[in-house]
Order: sequence, then structure tokens, then C-alpha cells
Amino acid sequence: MDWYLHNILTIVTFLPLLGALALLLVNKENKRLIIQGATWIAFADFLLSVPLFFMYNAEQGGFQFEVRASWIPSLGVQYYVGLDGISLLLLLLTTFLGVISILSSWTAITERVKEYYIFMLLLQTGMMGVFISLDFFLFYIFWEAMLVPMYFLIGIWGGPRKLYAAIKFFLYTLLGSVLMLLGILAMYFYYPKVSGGAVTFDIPELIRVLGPLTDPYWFEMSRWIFLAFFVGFAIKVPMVPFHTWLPDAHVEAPTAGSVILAGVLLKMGTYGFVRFSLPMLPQATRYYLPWMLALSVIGIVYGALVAMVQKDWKKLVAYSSVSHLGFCMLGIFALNQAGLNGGILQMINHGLSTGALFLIVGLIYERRHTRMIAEYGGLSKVMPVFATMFMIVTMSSIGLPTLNGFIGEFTILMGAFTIPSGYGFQVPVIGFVGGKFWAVCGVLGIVLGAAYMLWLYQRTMFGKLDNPENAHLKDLDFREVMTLVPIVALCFWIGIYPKPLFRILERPVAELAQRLEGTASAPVAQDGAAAQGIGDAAAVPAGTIADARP
Amino acid sequence: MTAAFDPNQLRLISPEIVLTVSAFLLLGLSAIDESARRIWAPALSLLACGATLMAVLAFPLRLGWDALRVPDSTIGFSGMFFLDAFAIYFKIVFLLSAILTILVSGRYLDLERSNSGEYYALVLFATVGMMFLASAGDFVTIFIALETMALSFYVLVGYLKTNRKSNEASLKYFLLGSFSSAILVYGISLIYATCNTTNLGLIGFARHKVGLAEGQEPIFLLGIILLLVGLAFKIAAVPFHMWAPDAYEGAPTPITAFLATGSKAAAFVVLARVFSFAFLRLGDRWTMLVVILAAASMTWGNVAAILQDNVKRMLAYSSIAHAGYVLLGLVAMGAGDSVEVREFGLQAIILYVLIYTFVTTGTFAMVILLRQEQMAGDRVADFAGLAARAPWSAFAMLVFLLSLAGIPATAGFIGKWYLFGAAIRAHYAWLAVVAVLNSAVSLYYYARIVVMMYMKAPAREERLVSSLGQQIAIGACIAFTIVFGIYPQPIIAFAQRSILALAPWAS
Repeated sequence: MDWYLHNILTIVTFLPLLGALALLLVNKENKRLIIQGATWIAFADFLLSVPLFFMYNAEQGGFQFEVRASWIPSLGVQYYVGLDGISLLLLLLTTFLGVISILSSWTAITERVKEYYIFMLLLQTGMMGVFISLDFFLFYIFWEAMLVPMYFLIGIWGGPRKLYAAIKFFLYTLLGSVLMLLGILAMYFYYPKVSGGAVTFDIPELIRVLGPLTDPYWFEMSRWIFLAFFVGFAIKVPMVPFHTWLPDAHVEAPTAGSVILAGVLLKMGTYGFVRFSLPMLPQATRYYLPWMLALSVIGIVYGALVAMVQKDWKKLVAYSSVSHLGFCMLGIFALNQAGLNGGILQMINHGLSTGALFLIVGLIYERRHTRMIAEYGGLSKVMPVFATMFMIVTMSSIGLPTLNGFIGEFTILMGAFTIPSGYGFQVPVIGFVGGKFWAVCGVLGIVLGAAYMLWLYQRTMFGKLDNPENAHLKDLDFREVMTLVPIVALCFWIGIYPKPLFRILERPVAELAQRLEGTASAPVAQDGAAAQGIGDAAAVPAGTIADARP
Repeated sequence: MTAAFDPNQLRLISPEIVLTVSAFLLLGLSAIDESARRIWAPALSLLACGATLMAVLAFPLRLGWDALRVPDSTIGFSGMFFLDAFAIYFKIVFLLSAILTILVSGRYLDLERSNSGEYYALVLFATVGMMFLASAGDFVTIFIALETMALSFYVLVGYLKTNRKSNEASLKYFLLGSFSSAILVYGISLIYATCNTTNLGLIGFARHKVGLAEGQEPIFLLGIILLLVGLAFKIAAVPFHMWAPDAYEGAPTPITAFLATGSKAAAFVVLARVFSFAFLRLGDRWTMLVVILAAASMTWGNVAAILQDNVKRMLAYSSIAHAGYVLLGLVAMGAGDSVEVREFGLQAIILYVLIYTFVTTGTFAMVILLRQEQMAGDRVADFAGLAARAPWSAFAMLVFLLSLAGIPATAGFIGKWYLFGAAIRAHYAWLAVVAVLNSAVSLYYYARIVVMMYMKAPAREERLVSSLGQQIAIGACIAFTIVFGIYPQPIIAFAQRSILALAPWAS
């Protein structure tokens, strides 16, 4: 038991990899065994990861369950893993959606079954590795290695334009990650000059040493590093204008691929900002803040507007992701405790609700083999259970109170309204744009979000059942309901009683906000929502705002 | 420079002697015994390489690695021959490359109906040339060794006598190769004219300590430029790459692999040795040229590779691009502002050469594997549906391609990591950006083969027949790529120890 507790992260992360290796030995004709094996492995992995939630000491904060071992001493690379509240939630989201997505593939995938489940399990290991890594080298290995299984999932089991979508996904994300690699290298080689020690990829150590630096040379260098990281993470999020791979990848990917893509992969971008850009490069973050805020709200509004005009159900959901991730970014770049809390919570919420939306599209696609919204209408009459589930998920997505989306969006807006009024642009004719403007754009995004989701619901579920092909659609069976029920239950839980999640997030987020503030270890406000003073305009280094204006 | 010949010094070149004698034996044997051609020739040549490898390893095992440092190390033949750890590192690389080449040759030559003892003898002669290059401490040694290697390759590239492409490739390679050798010699002669010596160490001494005579500096620099051009031909760096695609496509595929790994590595040995011994402190003069070569090779190599339908041609352009990446290490050697940075650049070069040898040989071994009775196997389309026909082979190819593209958890990533790091440390961040953008581009054409293997239906159904030698070679390459991709510490330590030999000159 002690051994298990000590190595729990390693076990949880590498179990799917072992499972995939075991599946290699199974005869490919024995589909039943393969499907059951993969499901049990994913489920066992989820069960193994659940104790983390209860064992994580929220009062203590910081990284826990750490394991450290020397790996490549010549380069200062370690096998160093650990969790804080932020990565804990994302890890749990990953294991949870892993089970759901494998469960949803039982009937959807009929060809090359063995390879499919092997790739799904490999993907799980890669994604979890990203969240637990506390060594930059290790992190980068997982970050890129994970692209390969996803590439195959889209390229082999995808829709008609799968090859195009797969290579576009791969190239885009690879392009971002190799630029990020240069940023990592620059940081890695700069560290010994500052600390006088040996080179290291140790993330907490890099944050500790490089985070507080303020000399002009580092400021200039850190701005370049920030841009390198920005490309890597922004493509993953995706932020407008780097989002064009997303609709293609989502539309062509198989359902489970879309669920994982929306649920976990996109979160890696936002996670990257929270884990690396903000604490390691706080000065550069402030320098580019107006741009980041502008891109976030452009993402929110643009994503929503484009979602509004989609004829394809899945594409609509894909663009809604662009909009929702813009929300996460807005919250994170509010740089205060409320905003960060909301942004991180919204990452989880989006994973649940959009994951569920993709499942729903997948369920209907399996029955009708079309995703055109115009083909549907009045489905609530033949598929009442389906319609109910879809209703709850829609409400969760548009942020109805008592459901999870509301909590996230509310907290984000609370953070966004306290963005110091200095952060913005001097626009010709209009005048100064900034401050409260960002939050107002967020509110506009919520309204638009409600519009396109409800309109989608109305066009597909209500109205006359005039397409004869829809008249005899089978409602959800037990397995299909079981893929949705856990998500819906979690949506309600977070919507009604989010305190446990906030409690877990509190310490890491407070530490981060404090780091950004630039003040050393002052007592941290205990109330998550009461950190209003942070991010005061006075705290901004002189010149930063003026520099940022075009 | 006047030391009398000491027969004891022959010990230093004992590995080369073993290999040369074996090659002659092989020639004689295949003239006498017809049956030697198919069975005995490969076995004997493998045995010879193995014995030579032992002889090479005997030095560090007996003397210890620390003894193999310049200037304490064994310098022989009046400074024309160095047996330092650096040389031993590359001798091991060349021998491994030769062994892999011989392993994959047998079945291929059978299918081409041109299996004979001379082929293996020529491979061994080329290896002898490379091994001398690794130890060369004098421009005369360099030139003779380079020509020994190149002449063997001219013949090997045209070895398929009835194949027009092979003949054309050989002629082209011969003409351009001789041309480049002439440029190289001209460069050497200019340097000799200004420094009065061909010894690398003494050239550095003459230039930096004694100083050149009035007005000789431009001649000296012109010599460096011509030398660089001559070697750029050998590593196929843009704009001196014209011969490579044709030679790679026309040559028998095992020779293509040997050309891409052994011959290229040999040219890099010379670059590393010459530029660290003789010209290091002139970094500000030649770095810009190397930067241009690197940027041009990476960019043009990758862009042109996208357009190819022949896998051998595609890999030729990809190897041009890889030469560009390796030049980043040379840039760091020239532009680095501290000893650590220069050493890092050198280490990046030699590490990448080792990794590239295994990965590229593995890739070409897969192309050779596809050469079957009814199939040439060198078009991209020939890879269609390989995952369904031969899952393990497809997986091996996938790993090699990912490694070439520099995806982590493969050895290729470690190599790229070092090279990009070298560029960053030398304050050439923009060049590093060009390099990473290029490695993203390269993924596009590597992925074309992956798409063929995994996402297209097989064009034909019959099983792939392979020889034991091919299986061993591919197995070794894949093991190297994965094991050292995940745990690179041993090869990093090996490379670090080897460059210590050059450290006194790097400071």
C-alpha cells in the first residue's frame, strides 16, 4: 500500500501504456476481448486516480505525490512528477473522459479495432504525462509524443476528409511545440547564468529562480520566450487566429477522438499558460496582457458568431469550443484570483459539457450518418431520453445556474471586471478600449452562446418531425445512457456545490496570483473570491502599459 | 616534423591494416572461388569489420580513455595521424555503419543479380578511407583518405552495371566529386602557401602565434573558403548538393545508405577536426558562411523533398536537410563565446552523426526490404497498406520516420535537441527558428509515407520476404532508436568523453 501511494502518479499514468502493450498480444480477431480489456483498463485507471482527490492536502498546497529520480544526468533531466490542485483536477478529468470515450466507441468503431484501442490507451498515457510532469524535458516528451496517437485516431477512423484534417492537426501543433522547445532551451541555458548552479529542467526550480527576475536583459529575453510559448499553447487552446485546425480535426475525428480533443487536449494549452507562462514570465505576461485579453475576447465573440451560422452540428460544437476556451483565457489573463479560479474551473466544465455534446452528436451520427442540422427536427418526440440529456448538457454549456457552466462563467466575469483599467489599447476614433470592456465582451459572448445553443436545440429537437428517416430512430440504450449520466451528474455537482473544487484550487491559485503580484510571501487571502485587490493598476510596472499601446 | 620512422608506430594503424588486408584477401578469394561470392564474401567482410572493431576498441580498453587525449595521446607519423578518443569514436561509427550496410546488402544484390566479392571489398576500402579520415592530423592524410573513400564510392554507386540510372549516377557523382576534390586541394594549397605547413595543429600555431606574412591573410581566408566548399560538396550542403539526389537514387540502395551515413559522417569528421584544430579562432570569419550553408540546406532540402515521389530521392533531399541541421553545431563552434558553447556545438555534431547513422540506415533498410522479386519498392506508393501486410515492418518504418522528424522518445529528438540548443547558445536564435520550422515542414513528407502505410489499402498481398541480415540490421537500428531515445545517457556520455580529446584546442 505504501508503495502504491508513493508511486500513485506513475502507476496511474503508465497503466494505460501497459494495457496497450498487453493488447498487442491479443489476436486482432478477438474483438470482444479487446474492447472489454480496454474498457476495464481505462476504468481501473480511473478508479486508481480517484483516491488522489481525497488524499490531496488542499490546506498544504504546493506539489504533492512527488517522485523524483535521476534520468539523464548529463542534461540535468529528471523523472520528476507531482500534482498541485490545478493538475489534479485535469488529471481526474482525463481518466474520467478516458473511460467515457472508450465506452462510447464500442459500436462506433468496427474496423481495425485492436489498433484503435491501443492508440486510445497510448493517448491516455500521453495526456496524463503532460499534467503530472514537473520536469520540462519530461513534459515536452509527453506533449509531443501524444500527438502521434491522436494523428492516427483522426487519420484512420475519421470522416471523409480525415487525411487532410489529421495532417493539419499534426503540423499545426508540431509547429507550435517546436517553437516552444526553443523557448524551453533558452530558459534552460539561461538558468545557470542566474543561479550559478548546473542546468536543470526542474519546473518549480525554474519558477523560483526565473520568475522574480526583473533585470532588463531578462525582460527582453523573457518576452521572446513568452512569444515562443504563446505559439505553442495558443495553437493548442486554440486562440484566434490559430484555431483553423480545430474545426477540421473535430469534424473528421471519430466521436471518442472529438471528446478527448475537446475535453483534454485543448486544456493543455490553457494549462501551459497557467503552469509555465504566467509564473515563469510574469513581467512578459503583463507586457503582452492587452494583446492576450484582446485575442481572448475576439475568440469568444468570433467563435460564437461563427458557431451561429454553422449547418453542421459537429462544427457548431467545435466553434463553440473556440468561444468557451476564449472564456478560460479571459479568466486566466485577468491575472487575479477570481479570474484564475474561474478560468481553471471552466476548463473542467468545458471538458465535461463539450465532451458530452460531442457524445451526443456521435450518438445521433451513428443512427443517421449525417450531421446536417437541417436533416433533423422534432427528435424529442421519438427520442425523449436523448432529448432530455441534450437539454441538460445544453443548459450546462450556456451557463444556467445550478449547472457547472454558470459557476465557471460567473467567476471568470468576476475576475474580468477587476482587470485594471490601464490594460487596453488606444484605438483611433473610438478612443481607449480596455478595462471593463473585456468583461463586457465576455457577457456578450454568454448571450451569443445561449443563442446558438438554444437555436440548435430548437432546430433539432423541437418542431415538426417532417423527415421520415427520423421517424423510427431508436432512443438511447443502457450503455449509451451510462456514457452520459456520469457527466450530467458531475455537471450538477459542480453547479450546486463547487466548494470542494475551489478548495483544491485555492492554494495553488493564490500562490500564482501572488507571484504575479510580485510581492514576496505575504499572507494570502483565504477567501477565493475576495482577492479583489490583486492586479491593482498601481502594481503594474511603470512603462508597461504605455509600451503595450500600439 | 623530422622524427625518423619508428616501426612501433604501425601499432597505431593496426585496425586499418587489418581491414585493408582483409579487403585484399576478399578480392583474391572471390577471384579464385566462384562460390565465395554469395556466402563467404559477406561473412568474411563482417568478420573483418568485427576484428577491426576489436582492434579499435583495444586502445581505450588497454590505455584507458583518459590517455587518449590530445596532446597526451598517441600522435604518430610526424603528426599526420592522431589516435585520440575523438578518432576512436568516429571509427566505431564508421565500422558500425559498414556492418549495417553489409548486413542489408546480401539479399538486395541477389535480387539485382550482381552479387560478388568485389562489392564487399570496395565497402571495406571505403571504410578504411573513412577511418584514416577520423585520425587525420594533416591535410595530406585528409586528402589521401578522402580520395580512398571517394574512389571506392564512385565504383559502388555504379555497381549495377546493367542499370542505366546507376551508371548515370556514378558518372555524375564521379565528375562532381572530382571537381570538389580539386577545389579542396586548391584550398589546401593556398593554406600551405601562407603557413608553410599542412599540419593542422601547426597551421593554427602559425596563424595565431607566429602570425602570417604581410598581405597573406586574404590568401589564407580564400583557402578556408575553398576548403569549406570542397567539404560542403561531400556533405551535400546546398548549393553544392546537385549530385546527391541522382547519386542516391541510382546507387544500389545499401550503398545509398552507406553514402548517406558513412561518407557524410566522414566529411563531418574532417570539418570538425579542421575547424577546431586549425581555424577555430577565426570563427568570426567563417561562421557566416556556415550559417548560410545551414539555412539554405535545411530549407531547400525540406522543400524539395516534399515534391518527390521516389523514396530514395526524398530521403536524399531529407539528408541534405539533415546536413543543414548538423551545420548548426559548426556554427556554435565558430560563434560560441565560451569554451563550453564550442564544446557543446562539437558534441552536438558528433552525437547527431551517430544517431543519424542508425536512423537513416534503418530507413534505407526498410526501402531495401520492400525490394522484392516483382517490386522495385522505392516509390512512395509502394508503401501502401504496409501496416496490414507487415505490421512490424510498418512500425519500424514509423519509428524511423518519427525519429528523422525529431519527435520525442526517439533518438532523433535527442540529436535535434542538441543542435537547436547549440544554435541558441551561440546566439543564433533566428537560425534555430529556421531549423525548427524546417523540422515541422519535414514532418509533412515523412507523414506521406505514414499515410501510405497506415491509411491506404495494400496494393499487393504477398508476404514480404526478408533475409536474416536485414532483420538483424533493422532490429539493431530500431533498438538503438528507441532505447537511446528514452535513455540517451550512455551515448551522451560517450560523446562527451570523446570531445575531451579536442578540448585543448577548443579553448
